[in-house]
Amino acid sequence: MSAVKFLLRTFQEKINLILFMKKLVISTLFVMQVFFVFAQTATTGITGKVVDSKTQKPLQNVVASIENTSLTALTNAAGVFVFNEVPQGSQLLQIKSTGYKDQLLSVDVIAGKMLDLGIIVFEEDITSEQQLSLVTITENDLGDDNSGSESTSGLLQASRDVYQQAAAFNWGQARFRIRGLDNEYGITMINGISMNKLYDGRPQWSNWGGLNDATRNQEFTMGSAPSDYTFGGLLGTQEINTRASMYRRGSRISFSGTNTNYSWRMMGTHASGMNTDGWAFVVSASRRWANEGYFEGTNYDANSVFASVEKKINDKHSINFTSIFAQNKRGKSSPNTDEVTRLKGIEYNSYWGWQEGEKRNSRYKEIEEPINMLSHYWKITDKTTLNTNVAYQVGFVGNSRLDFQLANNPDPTYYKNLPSYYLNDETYYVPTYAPDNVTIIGYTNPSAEIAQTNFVNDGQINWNNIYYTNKVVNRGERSAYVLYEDRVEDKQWSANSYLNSAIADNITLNAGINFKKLRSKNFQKLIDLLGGSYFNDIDPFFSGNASQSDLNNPDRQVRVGDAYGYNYYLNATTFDGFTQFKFSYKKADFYLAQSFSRTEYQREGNYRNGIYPTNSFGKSKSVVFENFGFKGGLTYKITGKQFLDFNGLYMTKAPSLRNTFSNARLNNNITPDLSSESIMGSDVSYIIKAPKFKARLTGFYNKISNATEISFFYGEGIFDAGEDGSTDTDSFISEIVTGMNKKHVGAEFGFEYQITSTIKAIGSASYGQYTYDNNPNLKVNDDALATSSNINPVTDFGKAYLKGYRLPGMPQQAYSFGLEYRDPKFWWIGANINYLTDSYLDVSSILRTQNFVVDVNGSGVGFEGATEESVRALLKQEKFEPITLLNLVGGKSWRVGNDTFGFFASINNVLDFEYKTGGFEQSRKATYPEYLADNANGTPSFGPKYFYGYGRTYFVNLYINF
Amino acid sequence: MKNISKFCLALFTFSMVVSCSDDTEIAPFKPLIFSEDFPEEEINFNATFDFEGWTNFAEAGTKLWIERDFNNDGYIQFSSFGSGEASNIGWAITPAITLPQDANAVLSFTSATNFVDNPANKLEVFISTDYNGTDVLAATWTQLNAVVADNTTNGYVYIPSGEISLADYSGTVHIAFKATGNGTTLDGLFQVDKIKVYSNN
Repeated sequence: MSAVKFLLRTFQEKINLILFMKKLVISTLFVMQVFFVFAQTATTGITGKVVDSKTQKPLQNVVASIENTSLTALTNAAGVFVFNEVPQGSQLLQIKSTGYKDQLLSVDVIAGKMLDLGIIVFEEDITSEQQLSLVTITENDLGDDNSGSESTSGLLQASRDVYQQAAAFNWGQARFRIRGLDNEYGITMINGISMNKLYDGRPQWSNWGGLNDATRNQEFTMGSAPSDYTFGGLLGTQEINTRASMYRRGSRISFSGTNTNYSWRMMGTHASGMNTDGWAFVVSASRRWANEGYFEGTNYDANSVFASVEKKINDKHSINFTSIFAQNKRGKSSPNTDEVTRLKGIEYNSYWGWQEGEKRNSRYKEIEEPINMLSHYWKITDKTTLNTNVAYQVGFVGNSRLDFQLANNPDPTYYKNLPSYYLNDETYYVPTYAPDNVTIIGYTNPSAEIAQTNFVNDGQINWNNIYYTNKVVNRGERSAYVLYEDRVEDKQWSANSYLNSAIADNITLNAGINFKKLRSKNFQKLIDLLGGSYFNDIDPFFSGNASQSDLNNPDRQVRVGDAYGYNYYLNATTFDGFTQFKFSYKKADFYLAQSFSRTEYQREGNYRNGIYPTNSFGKSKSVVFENFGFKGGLTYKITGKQFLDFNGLYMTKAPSLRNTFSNARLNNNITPDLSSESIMGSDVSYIIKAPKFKARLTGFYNKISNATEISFFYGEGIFDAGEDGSTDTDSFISEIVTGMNKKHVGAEFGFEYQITSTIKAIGSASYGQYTYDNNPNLKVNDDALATSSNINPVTDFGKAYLKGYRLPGMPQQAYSFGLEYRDPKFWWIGANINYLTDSYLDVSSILRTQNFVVDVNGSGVGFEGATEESVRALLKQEKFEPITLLNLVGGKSWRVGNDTFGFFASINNVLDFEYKTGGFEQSRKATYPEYLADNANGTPSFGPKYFYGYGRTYFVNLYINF
Repeated sequence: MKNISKFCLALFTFSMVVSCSDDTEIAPFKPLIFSEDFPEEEINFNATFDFEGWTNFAEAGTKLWIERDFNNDGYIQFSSFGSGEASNIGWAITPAITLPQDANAVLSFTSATNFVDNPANKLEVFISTDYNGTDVLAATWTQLNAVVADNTTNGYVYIPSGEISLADYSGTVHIAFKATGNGTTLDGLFQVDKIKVYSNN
């Protein structure tokens, strides 16, 4: 019986499907040219009903708007939208909704008639599957801190612009950055609250990582174009809206497999929609994990939970509570020199070693910073809304490392472990003699050979040796090696309020205020004694008082969980406000906005450092910055389908907390010559929006002036030896570059052309020149030079001659071409080919000061052998090989009853192209003769270190929507 | 299609406007043309000065310049003390130095004395454009106006020569350090170190 029932049901399904297919074919064919059915009404207007192509169910809350007017309408529960009093004549109607393809319809409005567009079939946006599956490279987080080598793909994933989608999905894997700009020039918001960290100005994507379903309601603006929520920056804004009633009702479960930074992902989401009592809720959870990601020893473990509840109190007021909890722990991978890569391959990672049959990574990053947010939505009048949010974020970020005292460096790539060390020292060469035992016929370097054999055969962290040293050699007492975390524990309150008001038919006002208060504890946390029972909290490179981390508590023995080394708070309070007026007229739209902000920073030392007894403990001077910004823009409508768009921005930006205290770990000193950045940006675009052809061509010119950069490293030859020549000139220093100007000039282009109703061609191009635009000032802090009378041991190195060098870390040219085929039977496939070039190595600033070329400081006379040509040749910036990437994507979905099953699959870098994504020069050999000697035989001990992109990777996602 | 071709045109224009330039700056420095700081590793203490390319010549008497070092710092020295000779004149002459056209070259060195109590016991610096590498006295030597240690300077204290312009010279030159003394009254010692010829451009 049941079998018969089943057959009947299947039969029924089939009929339904056939009927449905018929409908679909008709609606697909006429999706662009809609039947005009005129109803007999008195008003001049447009109406239509929006349904989902797959389920044929009406879609609610779809936004319909008439281009070049301020008219917008939302669909009701029956999927119907209505415009009354539309200007007669030819109009462009745009209809859009999250997760669906936008539709642009040409309509002719006749006076006194209600134009009925009938049923408008909405197709799911195939890129939305891609968005839900995008593995942001940023998560890989190659840098030691949350820095440098990141693409902007996380920011862009929700964009609908063809060019920006290429940037996110096709170029992101190669660290492409829009307009060559760092993420700190964009603003990422959740409900209007900026998620950019005060520490470095960059958003911490991991704070909501894995919650792709729950964070898909996004609005994006590009460049300095206006946002309703913030004044913004040079790069653009991303606003993630978590209001529960905004989510389309339904559930979704997905399961994915990939070979990128994780192996598996599970995600489940349910949205209730607004019920009759005014409640709506959304819950989502995901888990991502890998025993080993693409690079060796990179384990991954991430769990995320999201909940949002809304209560509609009445027509004017709603309250929403959002809670986001994302924890993430992953092993990091090392950047490697060419020598190391040549011996071990690009997937080699020096951070891990075998321990009891497991790969243990010594450098993991763990993040756990839950966000809780209370939002109030107030519809003051039909034309004015006020949204207020209060958020509290508390948690930690830990970056682990091995620490060691009076023991060998455990890093397998430590320079003395590599063949180059022996090859670069003539004393390790042994002559080979002719049979007469006198004539030297050649040389061998047995030490180099041994080093090479050891490194090739092992080359990983030797945990056994570490435990043996602590447990046996040191009898389980003082640990020579420990594992610790550089730990940041933040507590941050944020509050904002923003107003949106249509103050006249064609004038809209946006205004907002933001407040933030951060207390950030920074310290070294002891994680594992690795077989010993305590660790000495001293700096063995110094002696006497100077070796003490904390004179208030000297000679401490620290144990697991203890803070040691350095320990301080960074406190920050920021306030900012903006107003923005948008004007909309028949021939042109324009806007003007202005902002003001006040930023206050302070360091508060918990330790009295032995090197800086008078300026490390207690509170620093507080540093205040007041900044402002102006921007404006104009959209000129050449015709209804062609536009010219201009944007201009000038603003100043407070330095980040990170760059304000130049030696924050040890003392309260404020970075010398610190000042706000000034930022100037402008762009011009020509835009075509036709139903079959959409394109944008933009030229941009951006200047960032007075930027500050601080970095830390060991340097040789940076300070002159003492008179007796005995001073060790190899010192751990911080390099402070101030007054740096950067120029970002370029053009970007994107188009999509619907060749047939099923085939679409997509192309994007980006051409940029991102350069250092002046010779900034360079100062160096060396703790070894500190004395009781010199509590700020900063040495001025004069100018760093950087002008004309390219900004590193991203391809400055990128091109993409793709084709997409979308079958009416709910499957689709796409391919794109990409070419990226003009990517450069990060040059060392200190190598570009006079210190590099001048023998005796102050004399101006160069080192022996240094000529303009020879110096230029040594300091020539390395340009990486161009990158060619072929990517394939495809998917299919099935409807079974009311549910949709589907899969999405992508293969990135199908050709398995091996490429460098970035890298940096080491600064250790900081003078011409030392650098020359290190590079003499082509295998420098301190050559540049590189990051590599993934080879061929895949991503498969199976999902069910119900 | 019209739109597409319009776009291509615009795109082309843009790429022309954004022109290429790859010039980078380098830190300014005065390139060395010649330098000799008598490195300690190459010093043979109290041995006759015999660095490759140099000329060590006694015009009068038998005393020659010798190699010395002090506090890990090598130098050359001329002393007529105890020579028993009525006149001692010693020349230390650099290897051939090629001064490029328009190099605007500058000479600098340091010198020190001890036991010098008479201006006639002196160190002089000369330049020649026609010295053949062997016959010192046949060459034309022009004296250079250098600050040198003398009877008025403190013992063993190095005196910088100042920047001595060689802008009038180009091509092959030799620079000579000529010490004059004797075995009786003019028997002080002279030390020379850190010789540099560099372009002042």
